[in-house]
Amino acid sequence: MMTSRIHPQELSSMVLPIAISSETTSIPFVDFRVADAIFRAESTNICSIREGVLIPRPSPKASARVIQTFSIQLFPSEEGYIAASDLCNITELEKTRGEAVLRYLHSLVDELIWLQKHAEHLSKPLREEFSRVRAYIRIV
Amino acid sequence: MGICIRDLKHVAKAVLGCELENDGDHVRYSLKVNGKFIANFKFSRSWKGNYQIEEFILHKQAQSMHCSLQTWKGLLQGRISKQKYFQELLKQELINQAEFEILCE
Repeated sequence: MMTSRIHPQELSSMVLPIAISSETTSIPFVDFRVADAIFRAESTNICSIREGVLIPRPSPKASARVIQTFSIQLFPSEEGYIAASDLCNITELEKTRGEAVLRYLHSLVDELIWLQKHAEHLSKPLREEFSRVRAYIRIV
Repeated sequence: MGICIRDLKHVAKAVLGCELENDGDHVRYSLKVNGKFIANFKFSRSWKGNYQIEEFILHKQAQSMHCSLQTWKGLLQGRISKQKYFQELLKQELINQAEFEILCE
């Protein structure tokens, strides 16, 4: 696993899977575009997750593809950064922006899986949330 | 005074009767009425008893539970009854009168 900082321009030429370092920890990725998004998040509190990005989820094994670009907002807190978006009400709190974004993406995949599993038994607001999330990401 | 995970777990399970689900890296509590998922929220499995929940996260949980932040905090702090919370769900027609009465028993 690499521990030195990699510039986004360098990511496209790398053999996948790759690893990047965030502020304090190294995070593995299998799609450089996700890594790129994380790097952008390091200097801003809005992270754009672009169409086509693969969100790998090793455990449970279920990756998702972004089918429409969306943003993750990062809110500084006493313990780090809280990641949230307009897609649903989940939040993730981590020490660094990069970790918060990555954790949020994994949590979003889990959320979609959960909503899909219970699709027949959802209240109206949860059905709306399901429609919204699947308009942005798709399990692949 | 802050609100900690212990308060959240107590209210979700013992007061509202939410179903607990270990969902990967998270703990999920779902309010299920007559087989239908009305509302739910989840939090990281790493958050333990005394962990103080951030205001912003409480706000998002309140949205997930279809109530105001004021109601959610009041419920978690024991200042608001479950009847008041279920009344908010009734007003939004997320539950019907019969379900409201059963939930308030």
